[in-house]
Amino acid sequence: MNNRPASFIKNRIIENIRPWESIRHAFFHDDTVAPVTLGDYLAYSGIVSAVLLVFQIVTGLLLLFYYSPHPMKAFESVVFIQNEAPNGFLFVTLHAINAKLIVLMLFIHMFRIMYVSAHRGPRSHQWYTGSALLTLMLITGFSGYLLPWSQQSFWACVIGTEAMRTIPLIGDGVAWLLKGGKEVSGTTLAIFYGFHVILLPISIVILIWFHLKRVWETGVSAPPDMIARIEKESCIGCGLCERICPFEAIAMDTPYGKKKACVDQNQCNGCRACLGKCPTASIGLFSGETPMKREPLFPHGVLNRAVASLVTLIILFAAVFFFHGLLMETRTPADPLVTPDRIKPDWYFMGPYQLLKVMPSEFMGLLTLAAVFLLMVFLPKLDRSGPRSPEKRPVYIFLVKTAILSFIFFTLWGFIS
Amino acid sequence: MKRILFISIVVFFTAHMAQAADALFLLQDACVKCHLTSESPGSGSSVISWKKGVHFGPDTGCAECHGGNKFLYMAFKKGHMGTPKGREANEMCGRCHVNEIKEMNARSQFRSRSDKRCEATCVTCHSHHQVEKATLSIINSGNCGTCHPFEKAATLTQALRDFQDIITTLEGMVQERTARHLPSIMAEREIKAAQTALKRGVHAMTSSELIEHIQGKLIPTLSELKGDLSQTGQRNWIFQGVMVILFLFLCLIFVKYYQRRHHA
Repeated sequence: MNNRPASFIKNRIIENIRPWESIRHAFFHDDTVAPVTLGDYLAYSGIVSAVLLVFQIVTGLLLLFYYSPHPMKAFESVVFIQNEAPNGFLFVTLHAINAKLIVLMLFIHMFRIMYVSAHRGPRSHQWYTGSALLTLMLITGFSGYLLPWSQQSFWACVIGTEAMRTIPLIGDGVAWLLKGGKEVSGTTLAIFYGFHVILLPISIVILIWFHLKRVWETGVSAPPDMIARIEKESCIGCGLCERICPFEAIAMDTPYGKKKACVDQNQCNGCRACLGKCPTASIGLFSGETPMKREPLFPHGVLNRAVASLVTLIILFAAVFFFHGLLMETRTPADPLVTPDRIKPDWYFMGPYQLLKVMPSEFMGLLTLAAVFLLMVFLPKLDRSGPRSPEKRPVYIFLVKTAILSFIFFTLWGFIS
Repeated sequence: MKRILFISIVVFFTAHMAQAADALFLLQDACVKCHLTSESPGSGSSVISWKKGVHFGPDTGCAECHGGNKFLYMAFKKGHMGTPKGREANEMCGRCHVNEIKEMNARSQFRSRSDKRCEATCVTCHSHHQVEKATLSIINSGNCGTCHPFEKAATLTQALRDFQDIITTLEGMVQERTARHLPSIMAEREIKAAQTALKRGVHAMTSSELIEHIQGKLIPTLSELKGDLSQTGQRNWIFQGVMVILFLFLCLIFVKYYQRRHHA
């Protein structure tokens, strides 16, 4: 009796850090993970981001061998890597362009999830960890942008850290902590370096673990037009599905004198939480009259993801080998005494940067950005029920499209202004 | 404070000062204070010349060569040595340029001569006050023609000019390679080594030895380097890129084949 709490905690810990069983089950059994039937490329943006992240970590580790985080040596060390180290230019370019591509993939992943409302119910946990991951990736990108200690990166950092000062009460303190003093200096470089190579990567890897573990548990989301249907003949009316349904779409009914489960088609989100619980396998997902094809993740699902990853890698390497001149700015050493004519952040900060420029005050701009960020993070709290199919909710889809187009518009405006 | 203010006013409002005012360390230099004003006529031009030369800086001021204390205004003459004459200049320069003096002393041409006009010192080539790196212009009838027939220098001048030409070409190639992210650090080191070898040769060799050294060793080495740089002047990104992308395409075809076979 005394041992029970300890063993319980131990089992929970093991279950949390070692979900091999659920992974094995997902790979080889057909009742855990449904294949993604949306035959589009965008559905695989999540796994593609993970593959690109592996490339990013490997190239980052290789660059660490030669990089020197000192203001007098940082730029020279990057030039040395590019010009002298074996294949150094390839690794520097790959690391820089891949960073841009990962964030693009993450945005595609996020907007797709928003579009099909896959953030609801049992998958809200993934949305929260995903939002934290995107935020950490953006901070990692920002911290990494300073490391070459070039004129553009130095002044982008000056603007980024100065923008923090407009936050009321804590702004000055945050800016001081980020810069390690009043000005962007060698201390700032050391702080950003520490964040970029140690703290942020470790946090990202831990968060990815929790993100993927939950994906294994809940399975990937079904297409948005799928809803549950119950075979009345085989249903024994046990009520397990009613209790597990996060959308309260299942209710017990007695149409023929026997207790049977019924699905409210307007409420069901096709989350598949009930499928695994039904003891008689009476529940299936249907799009109209077509049942959802279910099969194990391996080999078909894995191969589909491999194809998506290979296509992305081909695009990445084509950009690295043939278009690096267009995608990477010419670097000149940082000069704190000379402000460049045009200071531009990396592409993913271009939209927010342009918004800050056009708003009447920086504080207003930051307030708008914070509001957008909070809306995004707490989306599962705001959009929690109703049908998922885009055809059935034009207002939500209009808002999502507006958000996507606004992001693209501000980013392009930032580039051309 | 008043003194500094006074010196500042003097520095900024006299004709000589206008040219020297961009270096604030001058305000602390006791020598500059007097030698730039009319207290010591004529020596102001020395300061102006010094400003134009390679020795212009806080650590290589008047006191470093002439002695005296540039910080103690009341005792600035302490340790003052005045103007070094003849070979004294070599000893003075040798306090910092130790190797050069050692090499020069080993060479007969730089030894003491009865005819002082034929005695070559550091100042002969590098000038004083406006100290310069030696260039080809120092080989002229004024410097060399005093003791030698000037025609003797023509071969040496040509060798040095050839050396300088190839160095200029190589520096341009290195600059271009750096801009194109191609390896250049070894080439930079070889160029530096050749320049150092020439500098040592100038101080330690006779003119005939120097010509042989330049034509027989330095220029062939640099020509070889030039050939190497021309050959490896292009990194074949297109080839590498095509190979990598071809490999990824093969992987893609393999995956699609496996997928189709599995379906079948």
